[in-house]
Amino acid sequence: MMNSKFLIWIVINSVIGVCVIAYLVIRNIEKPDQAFVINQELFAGFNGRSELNQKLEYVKERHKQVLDSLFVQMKNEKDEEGLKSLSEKSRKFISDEQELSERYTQQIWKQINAYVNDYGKENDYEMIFGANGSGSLMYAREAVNVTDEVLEYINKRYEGEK
Amino acid sequence: MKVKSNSNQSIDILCILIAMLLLLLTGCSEQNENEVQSVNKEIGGLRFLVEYQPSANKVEEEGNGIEYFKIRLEKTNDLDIVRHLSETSGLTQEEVLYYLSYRLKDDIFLEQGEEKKESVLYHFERSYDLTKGRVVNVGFEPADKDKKITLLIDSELLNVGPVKLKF
Repeated sequence: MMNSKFLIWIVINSVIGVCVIAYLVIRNIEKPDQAFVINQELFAGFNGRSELNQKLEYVKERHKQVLDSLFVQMKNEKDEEGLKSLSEKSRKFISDEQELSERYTQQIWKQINAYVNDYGKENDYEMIFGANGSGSLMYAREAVNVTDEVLEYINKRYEGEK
Repeated sequence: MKVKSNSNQSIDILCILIAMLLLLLTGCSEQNENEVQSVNKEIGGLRFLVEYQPSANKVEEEGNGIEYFKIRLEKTNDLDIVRHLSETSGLTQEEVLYYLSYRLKDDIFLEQGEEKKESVLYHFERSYDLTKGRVVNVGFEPADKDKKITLLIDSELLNVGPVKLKF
C-alpha cells in the first residue's frame, strides 16, 4: 500500500512538472524572437548622453569666456586686426564644438549598440530592429516594442551593473 | 527488523541530495570580501578586462590599504591596441604609448556615491609589442566597504565615452 509520504512526493513533483511545462509553453508562445526599439527614445533616455552633454556645455562655456575676455581687451585697445582674428577664433571654436558634438554622438551610439547587442544575446532574440522614422521599419506590433526594457537595461549597463 | 521500502529509500536519497546541493549553493554564494573580482565590458571594438583586488585586511590594519585594479585593454578582433589607437586618433604609436604610460592615469577615477577619487598609484606594463593588449595597474585610497564602488575610465583617446564598471 502506498504510504502518505510517497503520495505527497508524487503530488509535489507533479505540480512542479506541470508548472515547468506551463512556463516553457507560455514562454515560447509569448516570447517573440524579433523585436524593435525606437532609436530616438533610446538616444534621448540614455544616461551617458546627459553626461556627455554636460561636458560639451562646459567646453562651450569655457570658449565663451575666452571670447568675451578677448573681445573686451581688443575693444579697449581699439585693435582692428585683433578684432578680425577674434572673429576667426570664434569660427574655430564653433567648428571645434561641432566636431566634439559629433564625436560624443558617435561614442553614445557605440555604447548603445554594445549594450543592445548584449540585451539581445541575454534575452535570446534573433534580431532587434532600430526604428528611426526613416522608413527602414514600416510596421511592427506594439507588443514587440522593447524600447522601455532596453532603455532600462542599457542605463544599468552604462552605470556599471553587470 | 523492519526493512525500508524502495520508495522510502529513494525519498531519503533525494532529500540528502537536495540538502547537499543547498549546502553547496549556500557556500558558493558567500563571497570572500578580499578575493579578486573580475568584470569585463566590450564597447566599440574595445574590451576592458578589469580585476579588482580590495584593500587587503592585513595592510589595512596598518592604515595603508589600497583599492587595487588591474585593467587590461585589448581589441575584440585581436589586433594590436596601440596600433588601433594610433590609427583612430591620428597620434603616432610613440605618442599613444606615452599617453598610456603617463596620461591615462588622469582619466581613471574611483566613484563611490558623490565622491570621485583620483588614482594614487599607476603603472603601465610595457610589453614591447609582444602582446596585442596592454595592462595598467591603478590604485586608489581605501573606499567605504559598505558601499559599492565604480571604476570610471573616461578617456578621449579610447573614443568610446565614459566606461563604468561596478564592484
